[in-house]
Amino acid sequence: MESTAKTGHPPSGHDSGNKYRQLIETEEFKFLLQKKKAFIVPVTLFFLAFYFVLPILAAYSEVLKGEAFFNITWAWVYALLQFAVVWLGGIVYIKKAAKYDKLAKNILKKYEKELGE
Amino acid sequence: MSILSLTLFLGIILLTLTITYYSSKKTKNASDFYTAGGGLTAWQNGLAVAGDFMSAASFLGITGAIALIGFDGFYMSIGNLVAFLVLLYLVSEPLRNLGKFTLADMISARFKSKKVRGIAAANTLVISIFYMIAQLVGAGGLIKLLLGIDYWLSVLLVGVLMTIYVIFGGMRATSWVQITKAVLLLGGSAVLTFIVFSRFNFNISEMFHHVQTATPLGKEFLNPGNKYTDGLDMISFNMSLVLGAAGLPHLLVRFFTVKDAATARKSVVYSTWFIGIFFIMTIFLGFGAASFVGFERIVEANSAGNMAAPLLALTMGGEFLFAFVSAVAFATILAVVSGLVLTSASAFAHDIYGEIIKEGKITEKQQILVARMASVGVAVISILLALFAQSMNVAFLSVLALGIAASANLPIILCTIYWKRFNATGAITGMLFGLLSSIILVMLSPNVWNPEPGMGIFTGNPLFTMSNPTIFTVPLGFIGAYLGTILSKAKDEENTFPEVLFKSNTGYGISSAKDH
Repeated sequence: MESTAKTGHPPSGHDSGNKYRQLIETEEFKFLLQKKKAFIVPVTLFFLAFYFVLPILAAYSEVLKGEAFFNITWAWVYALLQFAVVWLGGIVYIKKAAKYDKLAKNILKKYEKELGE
Repeated sequence: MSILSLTLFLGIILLTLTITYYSSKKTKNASDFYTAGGGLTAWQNGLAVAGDFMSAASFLGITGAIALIGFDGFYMSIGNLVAFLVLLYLVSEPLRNLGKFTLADMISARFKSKKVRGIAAANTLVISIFYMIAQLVGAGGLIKLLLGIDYWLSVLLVGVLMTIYVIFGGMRATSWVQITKAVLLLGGSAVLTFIVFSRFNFNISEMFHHVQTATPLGKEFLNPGNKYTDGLDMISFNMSLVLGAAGLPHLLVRFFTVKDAATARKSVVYSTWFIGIFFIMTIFLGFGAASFVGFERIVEANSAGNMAAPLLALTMGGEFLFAFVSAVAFATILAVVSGLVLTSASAFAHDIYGEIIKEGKITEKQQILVARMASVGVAVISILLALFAQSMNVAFLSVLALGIAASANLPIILCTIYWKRFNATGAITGMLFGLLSSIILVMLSPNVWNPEPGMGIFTGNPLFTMSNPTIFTVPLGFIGAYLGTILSKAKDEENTFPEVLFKSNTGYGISSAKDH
């Protein structure tokens, strides 16, 4: 260890950089990324949009002020819907992520040799 | 102070010191100290993460805010909860896969530059210490109200206890104090919620009906707009809530206390349930306080409404419940500040001393020693500043902490993981843009400048009229990262993006307790 440090090699040398460059170009890894992106990006945009609609409506409209049912106004209904979105978002994510875990595990297994070099 | 209150307070102190004693026996190396050896389960970490959010500010503050201003008091609950989806979907897993002890570790997984690590560590220190001072000043005032002991003594008591937990028990003690408090707080709130709900005959409709005549706001109590009249400012405030959490260092380090990304994600999901249920209970507590304690009594005890929850306990359950709720509030303060001490100490000892000054050539023993010394240093500085700030309105410190987290940390975290072209210069400019713009705008804002003497830090008209600048500073953080990247000649020299991308998505080479 000491000697390599003294010769001034960067911590992760060119070889290791190459290794990862090749790995991220494999079909399997691209597939994993694409799957994740297709799920995470739209869902994130949805819950952020859903969230900011509340303060925007509260600030610039009167629609949240009326009673919805049981004496509860729309503002509280919308706020509690956000709770539902968060809980649902969590459950769905855990399910999806289990699939990504499997794909990731397969990649690590298949390219064990390349990684071990 | 009654014998009962004193007994319960001493009980809390004894319990937390026992936890610290057992944790200290297991704290042998740096990984134990910084991350509890990475050995927490998803349940445990879920409770601890939830505990960081169920601070005194949310338990006492949100209950009081709902009781006094109705719906507007509930924004904080919603924003804090939705923040967990940002954490879950974008941050927690890559963070766990790339990092080891601190947030700066994760960013350094991509950029080996000392400058990047140094600025990231400095941001952590600024955020955590500002936050801690705000908490300590609040704690001093609260304990004074609850126990009737002097401000300086309250601050000192909390300060000394938090230091003991951290230096002897490290992250293990900090986490278990947090878990214990989370359970106590959930339990105490559940009891109060049950009593309040029973008074409304377990009928939601009756509760929402009754509260319309209970406060000076009348029917408007249930509508938005009682406090926040400036739309843009309110949206900006909401932005800091939903984006700030995913950049708060004391929360992010919690994900290093579990063994892998799968456990990290499960712990976030567990915490959304703990916190969600807790925030729903704050509605009952707020409505209960508004109905049964009454507006005037709440304001009389504390104009910000911080005494609403303890007074509700007194009204509903008498002396014992009051003493219990007060003791839980005390435990809450202790747990949150000790997390902040640990996070600041890690940034100093691990990042600045260990990795930058000593270039990683530091033994386990030295690491722990420096971390302990740094904990004492951070605690002393914070206690002194909190003592000086007694009569100041320190609300701006929390705004600032959350704002810097959202505008300096979050953009850099996201670019590090997801943006291929991002480089070290961009990381530096992004962090500086976010940090400086937050500080400058808050310093010019009504939080600091108030025409009425004594209401702000300075007397005078604010140059920047919004109390929360996050809507400007988050984009500025991203713009800084973008401009720094495209204007600097050097490409990502080390080209570590493929490695970061691969590791963050597969968990390959994850640093766990077994590695060291």
